[in-house]
Amino acid sequence: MPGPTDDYFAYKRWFDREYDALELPADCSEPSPPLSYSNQYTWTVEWYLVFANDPKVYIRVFEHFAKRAQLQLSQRIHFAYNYAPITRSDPRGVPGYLPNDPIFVRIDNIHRPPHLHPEADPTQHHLQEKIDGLTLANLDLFDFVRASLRHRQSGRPMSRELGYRII
Amino acid sequence: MSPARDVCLTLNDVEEMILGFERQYGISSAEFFRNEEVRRTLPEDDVFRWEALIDHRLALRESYQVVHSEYLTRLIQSSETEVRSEIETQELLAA
Repeated sequence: MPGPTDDYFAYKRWFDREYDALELPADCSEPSPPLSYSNQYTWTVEWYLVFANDPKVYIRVFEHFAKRAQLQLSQRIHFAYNYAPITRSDPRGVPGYLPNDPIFVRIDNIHRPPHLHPEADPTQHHLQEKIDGLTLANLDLFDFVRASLRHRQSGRPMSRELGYRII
Repeated sequence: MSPARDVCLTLNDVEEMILGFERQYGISSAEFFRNEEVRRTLPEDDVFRWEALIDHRLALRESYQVVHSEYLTRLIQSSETEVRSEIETQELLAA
């Protein structure tokens, strides 16, 4: 599941704990603060992990939480997880992304229900019905980051690292 | 420990960023929300950010309203207390 959604403080504690357990390589940098919040129930994650040595890649995690009417807890409204080769960066070193850019995988729920853009054709949108072995809506950002780190080391396909199959 | 970098957004920050999107795409935030066709033409990252900012603006406006109404309640209570104590003083003087 995508981390605790009770409120920002619970989420931040979870984020810090999971972050501490990561083993990030020495060439990894994080160009901007990952978390922003406006109140206890509304927060956004824009977290970049940029790798300077070959293979030059980046992992990017976007997710946004808010509380909707009638709910006691916040919920994840949008998410977009990218893992891709670096093709462009802004002056701060933040990688950019356009729909045609090469990716290893992108999973998001922007414009449509959770779907996966495959490496073979980043412009394709595979909805859950076409994905076996992975529940896209329940994907946890740290599972995504760990799978991407493994892929960078092993070169094995992301489908194998994340445990999905396109049907 | 994570770098623990988090940013507390203010209403001014958020308004400014929303205005940036409105200028960039030449549409209001209301139009952005209403018109699914237009939204589909925008880059997904910008849709994500714009929608998130609108949520933040709502949250901040609600928080400011709570603080403001709390302030007004206390102001009224304190002026009532002041009036009461003035009356009590006058009564004491008259006694």
